Amino acid sequence: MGGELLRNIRKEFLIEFRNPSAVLSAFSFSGVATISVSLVTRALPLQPLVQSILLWLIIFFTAMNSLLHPFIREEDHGTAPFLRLHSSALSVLASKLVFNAVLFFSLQLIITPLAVVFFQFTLRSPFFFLVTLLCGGFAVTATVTVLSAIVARSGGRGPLFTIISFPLLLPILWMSIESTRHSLERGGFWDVRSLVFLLAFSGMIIALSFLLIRFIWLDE
Amino acid sequence: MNTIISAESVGKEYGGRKLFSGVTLRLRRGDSLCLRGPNGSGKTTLLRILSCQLPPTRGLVEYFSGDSRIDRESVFLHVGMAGPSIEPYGELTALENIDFVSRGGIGRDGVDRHLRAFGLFEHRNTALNNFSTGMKQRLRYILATINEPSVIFLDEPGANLDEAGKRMIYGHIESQRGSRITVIATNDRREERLCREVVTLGG
Repeated sequence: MGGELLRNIRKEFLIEFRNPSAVLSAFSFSGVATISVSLVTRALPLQPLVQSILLWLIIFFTAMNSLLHPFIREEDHGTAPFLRLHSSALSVLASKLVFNAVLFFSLQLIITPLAVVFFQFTLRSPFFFLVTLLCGGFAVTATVTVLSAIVARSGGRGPLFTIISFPLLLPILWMSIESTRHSLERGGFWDVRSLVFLLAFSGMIIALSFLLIRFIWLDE
Repeated sequence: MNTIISAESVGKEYGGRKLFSGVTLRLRRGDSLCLRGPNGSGKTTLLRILSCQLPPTRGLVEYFSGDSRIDRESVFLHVGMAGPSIEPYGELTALENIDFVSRGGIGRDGVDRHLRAFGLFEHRNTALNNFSTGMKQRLRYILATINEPSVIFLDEPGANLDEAGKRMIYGHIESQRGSRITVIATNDRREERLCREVVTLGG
């Protein structure tokens, strides 16, 4: 399983490196979306809650725009049967989760500094802010990755994805927005409950994903 | 490894239309089976069902290693498959596709030997997007056999190949036939002659 997983991860990165249009478009989207929203709101005195909502809305749409790609690419390019013949469902999911996590944290590296500068964030607890972004980002990545596997197998695309993802992403966004607001309003590291929720939610989604992926991936 | 495939009353329907039904087979090492039939009779579908790539509408396909049943999740470790529907990664080179598939059993020398045997050694570092259809077909066969699987499924193995390519692949199939289960879906008489048994679908 270890060797197979490494082979799958290497393959994911090689393919995206050789044909980087989807990744470049995700990076462009994240930068353009953040700057566009900040230009529209630059004259407004934004409350921390509104700042947090705007930040997580951009993160949400960036995830919708970028994290579906690895599973959908396999179906669109017709390589899914080949992959199914040579890899277990678990290593396919794990490799795509790793790729999506790296991609999404890279996208957050673009979004967050731009948002901090252009939305004029006052970070009272920068460490708590960063931990919130990591935990929330990971929860979003885990959820969107498994949902993209379902959408890719069902042959559906955008509309189906938005419909099935929203109820699952809502609690993540809610907790992440709350936690981000706290990091902007107060110093210290006091709102651990939101972070625990985000980590527990990620753990639950990942556990369910690994239990269900064989049924999704093997067309049972 | 002594792998056995058991198919019991297998049938497939698409949208209420019956493609085939009642297919019962038991294949052991050394068996070779040709599936033939007119277009749309379900040859490729049956191949995919037998390789556990697609669930049947009715019936059951099971794999055994000796007396113990192989979990469906692990069937891929015993199976090699080549056909037009099995599309390797176009962005990767021939060697990278082989590295992705290979479980390391035959080593680099073995990989080079395969590439030379099928005339692809000079193209090993070329991305598949730049391969001709025939070169891709040869590589599909290498990818299907590189791990020396105990069962091989071939969907029209000679399609898009020139005479030299066909000779290479047919020769390899014949030389390996005794050590594995071979199932070929085809209407080509030469490919049919590579198999000891023939099942006709839709006839």
